[in-house]
Formats: sequence, structure tokens, C-alpha cells
Amino acid sequence: MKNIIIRRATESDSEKIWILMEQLAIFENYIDSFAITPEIVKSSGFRKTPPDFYCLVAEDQDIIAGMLVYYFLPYTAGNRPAIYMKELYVDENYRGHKIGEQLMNGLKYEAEKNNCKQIKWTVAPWNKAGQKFYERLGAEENKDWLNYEWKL
Amino acid sequence: MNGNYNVMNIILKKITENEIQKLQQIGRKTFSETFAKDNAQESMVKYLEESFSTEKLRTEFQELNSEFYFAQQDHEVIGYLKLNMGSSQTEDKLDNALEIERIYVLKEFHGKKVGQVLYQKALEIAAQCQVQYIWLGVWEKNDRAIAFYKKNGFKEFDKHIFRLGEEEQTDIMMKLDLRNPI
Repeated sequence: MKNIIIRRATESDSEKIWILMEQLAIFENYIDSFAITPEIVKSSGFRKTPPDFYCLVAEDQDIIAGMLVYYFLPYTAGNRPAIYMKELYVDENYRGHKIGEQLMNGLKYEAEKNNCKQIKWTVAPWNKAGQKFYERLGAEENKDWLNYEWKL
Repeated sequence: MNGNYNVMNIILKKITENEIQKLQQIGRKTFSETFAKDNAQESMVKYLEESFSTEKLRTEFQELNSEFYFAQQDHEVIGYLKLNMGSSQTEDKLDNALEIERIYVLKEFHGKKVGQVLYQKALEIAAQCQVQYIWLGVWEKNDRAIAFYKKNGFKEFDKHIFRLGEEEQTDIMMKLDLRNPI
């Protein structure tokens, strides 16, 4: 597992990314409402300009060991874009090899090149391992703002 | 998307995966426009075939250390830029540097500052990533490009060999020190 490569995902990764998205949906308990198919990943992520989402993958030879999905938030008060990280998931068989950390570092690098001021995301309140992981990387919990939503 | 801006109707745009074919077209066209008259046809055909194959371009696109930008006018791609950092640089003679691997403009748009706009983007990325140097290799016979970089403060610091088919050519390596620009 020494040769993990972090790279941008391309269309041929769609199926493998979808498998990890489904695993994440199970892990975070929203599999009931998970409506994504490999075809949707392909069409919304790789066949549109601009795509609906961006994705980095961690690759171990031909295996996709982890993925990170994000969006750009082009307009902020600081007049610089920000990034919203939607999903980060590492295959269970690949845990403990700092793959999540490498994906996060890749995201930071992409943010830097796109002049972004901030990367933000949410984590499930029960996901203590996730919270510890993000804190170890130097991220801080935002205690200033509450998350609201309007279901339609 | 972010990072786009507009100078004299030239739009800079980061490329997405489904634009790899457009990248291939502009890459092949500009390369042959620039070099075909001075090089053996056989070498040129082989180079264009291999260096701009869809597979190769896709692999380059996937690389986090590389960035591609199109210059567009009226939705037509008229030039492009490829930047490399870290391990993706074609030479590792400088630490903390950004390489301009390719900066090409269609011949009919030469003299319209398209190259300057692409070059500005390289400066912007260099500032965001806080590198000390910007560098590039340029064919010793490409006077037009050499004059452009000299005008922008670049200085020659080394040479390397570029292979076009069976032929070996000398590239002049030029760098701009962003911390000590004179």
C-alpha cells in the first residue's frame, strides 16, 4: 500500500466512485434516500461543463481506495471562492494508511490553486473518529453558525 | 467557475475532463504551427501522435500537480496553458518552483496579447502557491518566445535536451525569481 496516488477522478472511475458513495450512504445512515447510480455519477460529474461536482480519488494500482467529492462556492463576502467538501470516504480495507489525510491535503492544494479562502464541511455528531481526524489535521469546529435547511 | 476573467474578450477557463478532445486539437494545431516548418515531417507526425494522445492527456489531466487553462474567444479555444508543480515538473533543478510547460496561441491570434493573458494566469497561480520561481524550457530557435520571456524578466539558467522523434534539440531553460525580481 506504499504507492497510493491521489489524483483527479475521470469518467472511467465513475463505477468505483459510486461504490464508495454507496458505502458512505450506509455508514452515515441515508441509504434509504440514496438515489445515485453509476450513470448519474458519470453524467453529472464528467460529462458536463462545468460538472456538478469535483472528485479526487486515492488509487492503489487499479483499486480506488478512497474518494473526496467537493463543490466550489464561487461567491463569498471576501470576494474569493470557497470549497464545500461533500463527501470523504476511505474503503474499510484501506483504513489506517493516512489515505484520508492525503485526500484532504490534495483538496487543500486544489483550493490553493483556485484562490479559495476556506474549505468547509459537516460531520455527523456521532462520528467521533471523524471529528478527531479533522481536528488532528488542524480544522476547527465552527461554533458561530447553525446549519438550517428547508425541505422541499 | 472561479478564476475566470476577461481581458479584451479573452476568457480564461480551467479545462474539464470532457474538453480533453479540444485540448488535443489545440495542442496539435499550435505545436505544428510553431514547429513544423523547422522540423522533419516524420518526427513531427510521431511527436504529435504520441504526445497528444487522448490517453496521455487524460493522465496529465488527472495529475494534481498540473493545471490546464484554455484561452477562449467567442467560445472558441484560441490558446492554452499547462502548468506543472512539484513532482510533475519536467526537470527538478529548482526547489519551490512552477513550470510553464506549454503556452501556445493559434497563429492567427498572435500579437493580440493572448499569450500575455495566459502568462498572467501562471503568475497568479505562482502567487497563490507561494513558489519562488517560475521556469520554462524554450527551443533555442524560438526567438519570438525567448524575446517574450526576456521582456518579462526571465533569465537563462541552464539547457536541456528535448527529443522530437529521433532528433535532439536544445531547449534553453529560463527562470524568473519572484522573490528577487530585477
